[in-house]
Amino acid sequence: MSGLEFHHVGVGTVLFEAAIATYVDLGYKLVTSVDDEALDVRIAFLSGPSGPLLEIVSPLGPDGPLRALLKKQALPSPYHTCYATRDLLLSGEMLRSKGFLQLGPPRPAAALGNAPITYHYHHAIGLLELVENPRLGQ
Amino acid sequence: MVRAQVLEIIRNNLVEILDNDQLQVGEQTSANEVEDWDSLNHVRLLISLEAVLNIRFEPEETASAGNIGELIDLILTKRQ
Repeated sequence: MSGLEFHHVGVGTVLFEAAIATYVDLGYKLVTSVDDEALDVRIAFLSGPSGPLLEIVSPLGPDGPLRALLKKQALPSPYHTCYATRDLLLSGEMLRSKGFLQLGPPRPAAALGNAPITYHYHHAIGLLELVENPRLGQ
Repeated sequence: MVRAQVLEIIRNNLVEILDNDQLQVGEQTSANEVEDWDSLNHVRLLISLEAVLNIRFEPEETASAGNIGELIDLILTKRQ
């Protein structure tokens, strides 16, 4: 995709530590782990011998962004893909022109050095995240 | 377009999204009163309404509205 670089797959689960342990057992290495109070989620990034980064996402509180997926019993599962961009606004406009709806204003992501992120929903593919100039583990 | 027409369009789209043809809603109905009208289905509703009504919602408008009456207010401001 124009101007976008694949960054990670987001995996939602309530079993945060067990999910990390399972991926480590599969050969992944834990890069960083934070409790992001502002986003109301626990986040861990893992890198593997091949393929994209994995992001483990677990709820911190009862009203976090995973609530709807949990109620549908849709977790644990991959539930979003994330792309890095140099220009969040420009990439957001590109997605808008292709039928995505941006969910809320940009917010800083603690696990990515407070890089701004946005979520975009498309009726056919679900959630896509954008992150501007991510700084993993900083 | 009058409020009653917008209400009917919202109801028809909710019926489709929630797969509930018995759904009854009014202007005072809020999402937390309707089974399965969660944040994801609310986003699906907004995307459907954009297509049907030829309007665009801004990012800050995608959080669940207080009730359907407030959503109608928002839509009517975009249709002016």
